[in-house]
Amino acid sequence: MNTLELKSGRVLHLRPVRQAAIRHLLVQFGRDDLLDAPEKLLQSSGKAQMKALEATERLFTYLAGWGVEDAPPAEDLEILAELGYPADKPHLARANWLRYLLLEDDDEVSDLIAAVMQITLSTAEEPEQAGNGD
Amino acid sequence: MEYITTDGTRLEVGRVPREKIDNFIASRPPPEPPTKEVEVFGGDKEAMPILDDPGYLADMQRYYIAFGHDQVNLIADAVRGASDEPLAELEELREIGLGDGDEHTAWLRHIALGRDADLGNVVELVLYQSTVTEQGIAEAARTFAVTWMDKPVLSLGLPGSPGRYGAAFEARKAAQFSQYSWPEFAALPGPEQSAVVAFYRLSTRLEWLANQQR
Repeated sequence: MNTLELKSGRVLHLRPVRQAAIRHLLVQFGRDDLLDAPEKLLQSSGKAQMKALEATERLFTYLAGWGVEDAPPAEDLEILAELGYPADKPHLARANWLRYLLLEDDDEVSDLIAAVMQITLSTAEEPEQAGNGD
Repeated sequence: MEYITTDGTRLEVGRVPREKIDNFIASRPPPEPPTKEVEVFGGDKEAMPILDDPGYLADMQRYYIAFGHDQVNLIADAVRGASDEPLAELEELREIGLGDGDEHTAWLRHIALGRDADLGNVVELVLYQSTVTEQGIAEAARTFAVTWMDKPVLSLGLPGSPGRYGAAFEARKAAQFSQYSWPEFAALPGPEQSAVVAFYRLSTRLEWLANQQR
């Protein structure tokens, strides 16, 4: 089971995302070195990680929105709606929920980015069955 | 052909014109490694490629990333969703800078074929149906069932030759051998093209083996 425990004690359940989107975002921002070594992101401080990765905002939204299984409860969606973040886009709503209501600081943001990237890239190396047929 | 992605999306996979594949490959030569001069037997100097050069490895990584990205453009016309392509998710992706351009290609790139394993499998299926592939050659060779002393002819090792040629050259030789014009050959379905190449390989090897017995 892929999980990430937050400082609050809450446990997030993670799943691998599609590699194409990660690659696209990292290449767009010149950090394709992270494709081979996502742990590099953890080798610097929380603030430096944010600075080092210009794509953090988008990358976070993608990884949190698509790579976390837990769904925001209705009352949190209402709070987000009051803050101006609509709930009708489920992936983006999940990312906003994590960013604004659940994660405490940049370190947790970075930990989540690195954790989802790690499980995505390690899953990609496992052989998969082709599902084709006539 | 039907393909079901890891996420359960059903795709109809067809073929692309062979010429498009040939042009795609020809226009994307891989980066060349740097070389260093080394002394070889007899005191001559020879340029040896430095395959572990960090700059070269980085170039190769960028090359493969760009190649993978462009592959979706190559196959997009040949791959369709079996039902309507759901686009709500694409709208969300566009808000974070993904999925620009043509809707169908973006849907393939970031959703249906967003996982590398699916992209690889579907590219293989398109190539199999469009051009000569080793899979197609192996299938045709099994059908032809040509053996030499009870062993499949293509499994017999032959002495190497200093000459080297690309797959496109072998395909042209095979087309010529079976008296196809190049446009006729290129218009054949992929497995048929592969069968022509298998027939050519088997025939030339059989001839070589027979000559050794004389």
